[in-house]
Amino acid sequence: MEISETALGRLVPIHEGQTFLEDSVLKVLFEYRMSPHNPNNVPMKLSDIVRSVASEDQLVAAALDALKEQAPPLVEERESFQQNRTFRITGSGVGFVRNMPQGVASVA
Amino acid sequence: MSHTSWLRQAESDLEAARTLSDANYHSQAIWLAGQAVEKAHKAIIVALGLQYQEKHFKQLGHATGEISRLLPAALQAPLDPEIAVLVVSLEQRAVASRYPAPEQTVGRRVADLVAPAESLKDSQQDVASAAKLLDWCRDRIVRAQSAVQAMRPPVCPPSPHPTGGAGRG
Repeated sequence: MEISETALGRLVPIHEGQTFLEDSVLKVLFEYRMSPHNPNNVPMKLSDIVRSVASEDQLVAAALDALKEQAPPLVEERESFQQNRTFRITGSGVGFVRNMPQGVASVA
Repeated sequence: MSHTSWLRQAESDLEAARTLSDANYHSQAIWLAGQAVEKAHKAIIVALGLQYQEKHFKQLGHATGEISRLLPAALQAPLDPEIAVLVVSLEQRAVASRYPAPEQTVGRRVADLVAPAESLKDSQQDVASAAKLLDWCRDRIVRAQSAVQAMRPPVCPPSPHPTGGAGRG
């Protein structure tokens, strides 16, 4: 079984393609939330998330919906802005990313 | 290394990114655009009077977002979420631009799902984002230099009572 590393440093089987995308999306939303330029926790537009992870609208929207449906939700949807869906990471999502072992280096 | 050296290297990386983008080497262009922004942020750190050495920042990694969080709040102002979007997007794409994706996943190639090097088909916007972020950094370097200058102790005037040769003649 071939293993690869996700954006959050998780080592997962490569057939879990959705996990790779979800981790990339979570990483982007986490970094945006942590930016000193976003103290008011402004949500991110779907188009910006899509561009950041260099994927497609529908795939990223599906990944975001999956992250919203986690218990507890890792991502929440906010009001649309200029006909663009917007999302931000939840407190649980921040905790999820922070508690993630960061790759093989974390084992050493 | 001085802040001008860091900034010069950042500008050189950006120029190289432009050249590669024009030649359709998009993943390499995006990587260098990300490098330019990272080095420009390091230039701000050095302009603040801090010695930036990689060994001091091993725990931070090389993420521009993490380096930017080291900057004092006064230097971040005015806060602009658009700057955060540019940093986050360029950083993520620069990391993804380094390696190809794993070959195959069930039903769909991983390359079609996330951002591996071969899926990055354009880089002009990344180069433009990097240019905008370098301008942002240049402004912060000027402000950092002014702040450091203001904090320096005043130069003492020469002593009115010279000690050497007194009482002769």
